[in-house]
Parts: sequence; structure tokens; C-alpha cells
Amino acid sequence: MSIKVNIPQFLQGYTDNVKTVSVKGNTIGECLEALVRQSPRLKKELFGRDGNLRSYLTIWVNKEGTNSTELTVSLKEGDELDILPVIIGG
Amino acid sequence: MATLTPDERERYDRQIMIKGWGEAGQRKLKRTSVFIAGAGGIGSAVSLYLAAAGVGRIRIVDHDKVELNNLNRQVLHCDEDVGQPKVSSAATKLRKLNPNVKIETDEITITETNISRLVAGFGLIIDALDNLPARYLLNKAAIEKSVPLFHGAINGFEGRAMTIIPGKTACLACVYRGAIPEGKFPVVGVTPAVIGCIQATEVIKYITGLGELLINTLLVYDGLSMKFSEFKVRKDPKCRYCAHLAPEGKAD
Repeated sequence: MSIKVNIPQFLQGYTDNVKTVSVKGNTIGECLEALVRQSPRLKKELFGRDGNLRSYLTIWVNKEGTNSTELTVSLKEGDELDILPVIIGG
Repeated sequence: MATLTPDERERYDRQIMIKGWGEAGQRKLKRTSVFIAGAGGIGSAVSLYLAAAGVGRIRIVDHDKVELNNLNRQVLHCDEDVGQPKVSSAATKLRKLNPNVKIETDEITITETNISRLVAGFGLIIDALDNLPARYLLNKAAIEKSVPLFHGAINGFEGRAMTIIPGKTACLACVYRGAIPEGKFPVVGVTPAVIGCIQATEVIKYITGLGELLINTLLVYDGLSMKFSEFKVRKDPKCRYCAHLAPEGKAD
């Protein structure tokens, strides 16, 4: 199924400044893997050496939090993902 | 009940005119004590507008001294303040802006051991910090003391804001789960101004009882595309800070 992924400002340099990417996948993890296939330089930005999502990233489905660090969260056709980094400045 | 002097009635005339505010709202502001953690970019905006609005007592805490590279965004501080403690510089400006407000300062680093003492006696806590570990300390203290926490953070042209009411809403740790490498972050001064003013707006609404708050909602500001997005935050039933409190919707 087709999922829209909104790319945050700080990662747009890895997607040739594209702000929104369509990917195919049934879970958050599959969609992020599809995103990395399209833009391989994103891999080390999204995932650590252990293969887990970087701890300072949060994934939102249809602008709602998932309360989950699991990449196995299921998605449905037309869902929209946002990747939000923690920002710390004040 | 705090009363208003003739000078205060004149000073705050335009906001007292706001429907639902009135002198009663102004008196509520006057008897409120606000703790502001950080006298940087966000702290500048939030403290200036809360002092101008007539919050009765403001304590601003920061351990840093003013540096030249702060001055693109930290508008509480001027060129002549470089080298001075930020809290001293802040207090001077805020007292000049509104001598009716009791301004207190503490030049100290917020730590696990002092946070509880530092925020004791304050009705509201404002996050104007520049690092995540200290934000978690504020979050923990706000929950322990059941005091609202007004979160803000910025980077470059981006910002976030959220209002946390312990026992009723999601907390900071329901949103953020991990640490982020500390370090120098890019920023243009208008970004903390936007976010600090949003936090000050939230504080004023909370005190006066006007409007709706940014609860269970992370407001995301993107200055480059000039868009505000709202992200719905769920109270995390496994949250290490607030899971023991009443479930969402069942609090008083």
C-alpha cells in the first residue's frame, strides 16, 4: 500500500530537498526501509548500528503519536508518516 | 486577593479590555509565581512578555554568562552585558520593563538534587532550556509537585511547544524517548521569539482561564515553510514519569 512520508527539514538534504515521498509498505518499518531504498544516504540518519531507529527520532501516523518504538506498527492505505527529530535548543 | 493600583490599571488597560479578562484576570496574573528555566532565546521572549503582562513574581534561573554569540537571539541581553551573568542582565531589563513585577534570579545549574528545591513555591514552570536531560528534570519536578509545565524547544527555523498538566495530560517523556547528542545548535533569533511567545500565551491563558491549551498536542513550527502543524500526543501508559498518575480523562 502507498504511504506518504513527510521528510523533516534536517533530513531533506538527503532526499534532494524533497519534502514528501511516497513509499510502499505495510508497517512503519517497511516504509522506512522503502524510504532508505529510495534515498540510501538516509540509512545512517534513521538507524543506528544496531539497526534500531535512532532514539532522537519519533514517528507519527496521521499526525498522531504511536507510543511505540516498534517499527512493526501496521499501516493502512493512505496513511501519512511524519519523522520528527527531538530538538533541544532554547 | 491581590488588588490593582491605579498605575497597574492604566498599564494593563488594553489587556483588561479583552473579553473574559477584566480586572479579575489581571489580579490572577498578579498573584501568580512563574519559574523560568533558562535566560536564553526562549527565556528572553517568554520573560519579557510575562513581565509586560503583569505576572506577579518571576524567578529566572540560568548558570551561563552572556556571550557575544548569544546576541543574535537572546534579546534580554545587550552588547554591554557580555561577560555578565545572564540572570543579572535579565533581571535589570525585566525590572526596567515592569517595576511592578517581583523579579528573582538564581545563577545555578539545574541538577537532580536541586530541582525540587528550586521550583518549590512556584505555580507554573516554563521550559526555556537548551538540553534534554535538564528538561526531563523539569518534567519530573512538575509531575511530583503537580505544577503545569510549558515546554518549548527550537532549532534553526523550527520550533516545538506543548503544555503539560500533570495527572491530566501527556508529559514530555510521553513524546520524547531518547537522548540526543548535546552541542552547538543553529538558530535565528526569530525562532525562539515565536516559540517563547507561544509559551507566554499558553501561560496567560492558563492563568486567566481563557481559550484552549496546547494539551496532548505538540505544536510544530516550521518557519521556512511558515506552517504550524499539530501532532496529537497520547499519554504513554508505560511512561517512566507519569504512568502512575490518573489515566487520561479520569483525573479531576
